[in-house]
Amino acid sequence: MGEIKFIYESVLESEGRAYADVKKILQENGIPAKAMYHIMLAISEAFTNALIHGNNYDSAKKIEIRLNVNPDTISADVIDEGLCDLKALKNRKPSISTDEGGRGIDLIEKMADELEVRKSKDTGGMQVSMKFYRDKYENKKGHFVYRR
Amino acid sequence: MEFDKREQGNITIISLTGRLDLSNGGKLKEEIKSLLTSEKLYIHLNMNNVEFVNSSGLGALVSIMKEVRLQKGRLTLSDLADYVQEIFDITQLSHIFEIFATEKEALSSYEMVPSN
Repeated sequence: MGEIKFIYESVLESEGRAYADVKKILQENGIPAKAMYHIMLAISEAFTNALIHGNNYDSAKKIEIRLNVNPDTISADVIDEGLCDLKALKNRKPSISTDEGGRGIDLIEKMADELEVRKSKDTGGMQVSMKFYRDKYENKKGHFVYRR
Repeated sequence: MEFDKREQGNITIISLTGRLDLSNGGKLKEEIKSLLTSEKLYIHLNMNNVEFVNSSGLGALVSIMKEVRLQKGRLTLSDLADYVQEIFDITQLSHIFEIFATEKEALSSYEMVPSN
C-alpha cells in the first residue's frame, strides 16, 4: 500500500473526521482491534496537539496526516503549520493525576514503538512521526528523538 | 457522543455512546454541570458503549470529577472496555476514579455510603 494523505482544516470538527478516516484505513487493512486502538490513540493525540498548540485553531492552517501500512509496520505522520516549539515540548512538566491536560505526548510515547518529533521541511510546523510494529508486543523498543 | 440519562433513587446514571475526545468532552462537562446545578450530586457513568477515549476525554473526566467532589457529590464509572481501562491504568487515573466492573456493582456501592 502506498502513502495515504489526509488534509484537514484546524477546526474542532476535523477531529471526528480524522478519526473516521484513519479508522477506515486501518480496518480495510485488517489491523487487529487492540493495535488499531493504540495507533488511533497516538494519532489522535498528535492531531489534538497540532490543532490546539500547533495551529491554535486557525482554520486557515492545515493539519496533514500521512499513513503508510506496510507488512511489518504502520507509520503515521501528523504535520501542522504552527511555530514548531520543540523547546516547549521538551521542557514540558510531567502531568500529575489531577491535571486536566498534559497527558497527550506521554500517551504517544507509550503507544508508538518509534517516535520522532521535528520541524517539518514542508510546512515549517511540527511533524510527529510515529511507527508501530505490527508484531508490537514482541519487539517493543520505543525511543523519543528531538531533531533540530 | 450520545448520553442516555436515567435515574435510580438519588443517582443519575448516564450511559455514554461514542468517542470521548476533545469535541465530546466539552459536551459531557456541560451535561454534568447542569446536573450539579440541579443538585443531582450522585452520578454514575456507564462507559460500555464508549468506543474511544483520548487524553482530552480523560481531561474532561478529571474536570468533572473535581467539580463533583467540590460539590460534595460522588462520581463512579463502570463497564470500561479493556482498551479504555488500559488508558486509565497507563495514566494512573484508575487510582483516582472509582471504577467498577459493572453498573450493578457501582450502584450497590452507593447503598453502602450514607448520602448527605
